[in-house]
Amino acid sequence: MKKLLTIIGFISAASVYAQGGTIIINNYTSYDFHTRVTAANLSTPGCYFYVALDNPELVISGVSSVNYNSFNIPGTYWKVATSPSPATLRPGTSPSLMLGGVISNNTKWVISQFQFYQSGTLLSTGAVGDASYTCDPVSSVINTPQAMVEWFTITSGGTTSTYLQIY
Amino acid sequence: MPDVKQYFNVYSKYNLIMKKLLLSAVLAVSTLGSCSNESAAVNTVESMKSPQMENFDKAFKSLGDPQNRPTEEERKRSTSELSDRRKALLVPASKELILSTGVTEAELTRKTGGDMSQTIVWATQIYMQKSDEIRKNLKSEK
Repeated sequence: MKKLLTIIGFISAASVYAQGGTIIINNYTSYDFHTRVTAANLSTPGCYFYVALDNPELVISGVSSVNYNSFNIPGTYWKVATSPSPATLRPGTSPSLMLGGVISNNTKWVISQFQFYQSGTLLSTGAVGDASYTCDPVSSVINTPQAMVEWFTITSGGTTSTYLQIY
Repeated sequence: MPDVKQYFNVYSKYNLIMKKLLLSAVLAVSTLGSCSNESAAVNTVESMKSPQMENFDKAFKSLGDPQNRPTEEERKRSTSELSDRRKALLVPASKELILSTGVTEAELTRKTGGDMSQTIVWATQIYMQKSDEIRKNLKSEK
């Protein structure tokens, strides 16, 4: 029991310092929002340190929200690169991708590549993200024919909450 | 033939009682049925959110109102950090959500020092935790 409590204590302490952990996607429109998100380490030069959702894409149906604490989204696979060698595919449940893990602690969410769908029909595509990410520059606000898509962060101490809002 | 007449009397009375019973049984079953339908419709993450969580949702949604959208100047910045003007729109609902967990005003002020980002990030963590709990409760109900 003591051990369990210690482990829980460590995990919760680690979550406080998690950098790229929380991402919240609020879709206020009636369209389905499909997206692949990428997190990266902004302080490593060379643009190779990243974690990108490979499959399946996230689907946030009309007028709904999702929130995730880390890459540990059930059923997902991520392209992970922490060195200049090619990225490898890892399941979201891999210990290295867990909340409080070294990769989660050293990356922040940077980009959403997205598509709008209605009843299964593709309507438009685009990308938004962190304006300070220079490796794959995208703007933090974009207007599509369907909606305005906005990416923003709220940062306090070492904790960043990332929001992706579709109005 | 008085016996037969009496028998018919009793029989028709019995019939009436049975009809009433049957009717109330049908009523009871249909009421029960509609109650269970109602609870099935009610128990979603949306419906189990506290009023403070709902207001937190509304505050974020309000960032898309015409007067609250990012201005040209805010769009040109090289950071994605939400501007102070728009953070201020999230503070009241964030405070309300934090206080709803039993934290006192004094504790809130002491911990955040009135810092908007700290208040909103704290509220976001509470929001995430609470929606996790709701999801877990819904799973265990099924």
